[in-house]
Order: sequence, then C-alpha cells, then structure tokens
Amino acid sequence: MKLRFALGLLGVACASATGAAAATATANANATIVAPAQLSVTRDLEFGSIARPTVGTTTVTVLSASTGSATPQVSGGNGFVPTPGQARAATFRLIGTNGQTYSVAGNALSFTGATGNLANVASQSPVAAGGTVGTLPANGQDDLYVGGHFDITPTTALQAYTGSLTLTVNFN
Amino acid sequence: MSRIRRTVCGALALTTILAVAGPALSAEARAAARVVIVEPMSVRVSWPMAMPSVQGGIDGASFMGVMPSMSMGMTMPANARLVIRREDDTGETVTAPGAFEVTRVAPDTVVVRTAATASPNPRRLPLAGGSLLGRAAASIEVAQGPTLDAGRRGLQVVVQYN
Repeated sequence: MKLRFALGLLGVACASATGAAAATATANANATIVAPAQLSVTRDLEFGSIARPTVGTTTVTVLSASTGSATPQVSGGNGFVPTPGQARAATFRLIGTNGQTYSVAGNALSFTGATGNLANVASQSPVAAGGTVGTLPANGQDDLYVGGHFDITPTTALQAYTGSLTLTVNFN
Repeated sequence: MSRIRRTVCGALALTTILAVAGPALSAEARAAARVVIVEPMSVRVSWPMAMPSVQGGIDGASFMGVMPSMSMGMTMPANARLVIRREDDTGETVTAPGAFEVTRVAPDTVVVRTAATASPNPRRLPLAGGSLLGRAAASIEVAQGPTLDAGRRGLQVVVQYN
C-alpha cells in the first residue's frame, strides 16, 4: 500500500511538469489480420461401380486417403469392384492460423434410398494431409480426407445412389 | 480450509471461463457421395444365327445376306458373331472381363470362360476368343464350321466365371 501511494505521487508530479516543455513519444503498434477459420469441400466422395454379391454380405470401404484413383476395399460375400481406380475419398480444406487447434465435432455419411439397400452406412475417420488431425500446420492450412463404407447384399437394388458426407469442425 | 475453498472456487471460475470461451467458430461443410451398384454377371452374349440364305447353283451354293436360314444343315457359318458388351444401355460400365474364350463342351453347348487379362488357356482350341480393351463393345469372329446338334435352333451359351 505504501509503494502504490508513492507511485501515485510521482505520477502527479510528472503531470505537473509537462507545461514547461512538449515531448512526443511514438510507440509501435502491431496487428495481425487473420482470415476467419474456414472449412470447405474440394473433392466429393466417390465409390465408383460395385458389383452386387450373389451370396453373402459385402462391405465396401473407401479409405481416407489422398489418392484420386483409389479402389474400394471389399470384404465378405462375393461382391467385387469391376473397374479399379474409380474411387476417391472426400477432401475438406481447413484454413486457419499457424498451429490453430480444432476438433471434428461431426462426420456423417448418408445415401438417399439406402433403406433396405445399403446397410451400416458410415464415414471413415478423417486423415490429415499435412499434419495431425486437430492442429493446423505452420501454414495454417490443411486437408482432411474422409472415406466411407457400407454393406450390400444380393437384394440391394441395382442403381446409382447419391448422398452426402457432412463434416463439422470446431475451431478453437 | 479457507485456502482450499478459494482454490476450488478459482478452478470453478476458470472452468466457467473456458466453457464460455468455447470454440471460436463452428464450421460445417457437405461433400456429395456417390456409388453405383451394378449386376455382378453382366457379360452380355448374343450369338445370332447369322446364317446367310443359300442359293443353289451349278457350281455349288452361294451365300446371300445375313438372314437366318436352316438350309445349311445346321452348320454355323463363319460370319456369326459373339458380342460381349462392356457397357450397358445407359453407358454405365459393366463387369465384363477383359478376355474370354468360347469352347465346345458338348454338341450343343459351348462355354464362355472369362479372365482378367489374357486368354484363359491357349492350349484349348476355342471356337472364339480374344481380349476386350477399353470400354467399347467388341465383336469377335467365330471359328469356322462349328456343327450344331440337329434339332436345335441355336447355341446354348453358358457363361462361366473363373
């Protein structure tokens, strides 16, 4: 308490002295203007053509990877991929700041008309192109690759299925 | 005791502040997703009895046109074609393999064997065979003179996947 009082007196004394001579001091001011964090889609999710199994249940999976000409993994049943290299994972671009952290709050895949045809439809866990999922690299920008999977059976209707893959990111 | 209480209160206050601060921005983006489910056995075999009409003459028979004719003693002429398409009517890629061969396993039965790349077994003597490159349809000449079983109007074609 004594120290604070002494400083207060000094401040009053300095203010009283300014009348004798004008003095100007310049301080530097820095500001970094950053773009607001952004999330956008740069590539859609594509599974390509899948041959329906005649027996059993076939699980079709597109891995979360960067390649634009992937071949889905198939397991179970006797379904197969007639033409390799037609698949690709979706790509989401995140733009923020150096080292900015984020969390993936939602990651959902759905297809129209899936009921009774495509079972266990779900997305794969995201994979970051330039660093770790959850932290943007030094350039403040990263891509998240997101694949998906589903099951088909001999009763799956032969048709093209379209849907959406929704990703929700919370930037900190 | 008082110090503990202050610490707890401080921790609660910090938690509250963090909760209020929360995420600075929540962003959502939606990508389109697509898959095409196709039939597993889609080799389309059409083997028309493209037997020409026969017109007799002094120096033998002559063949005219491509309309079926039963006047050749049930002998398939060389201009019959086996057509395997790798696209369906809508342009979608189907599952026809890259190579195949047609061999006779009975007087009225042939087997179409398929493979991913080359002809399945060159030691067999196929009635027809070849490779389909790309997505376009291809027509392959059938071997000369495969005799059909009398009483049958066409060939029975069995598609066998290896």
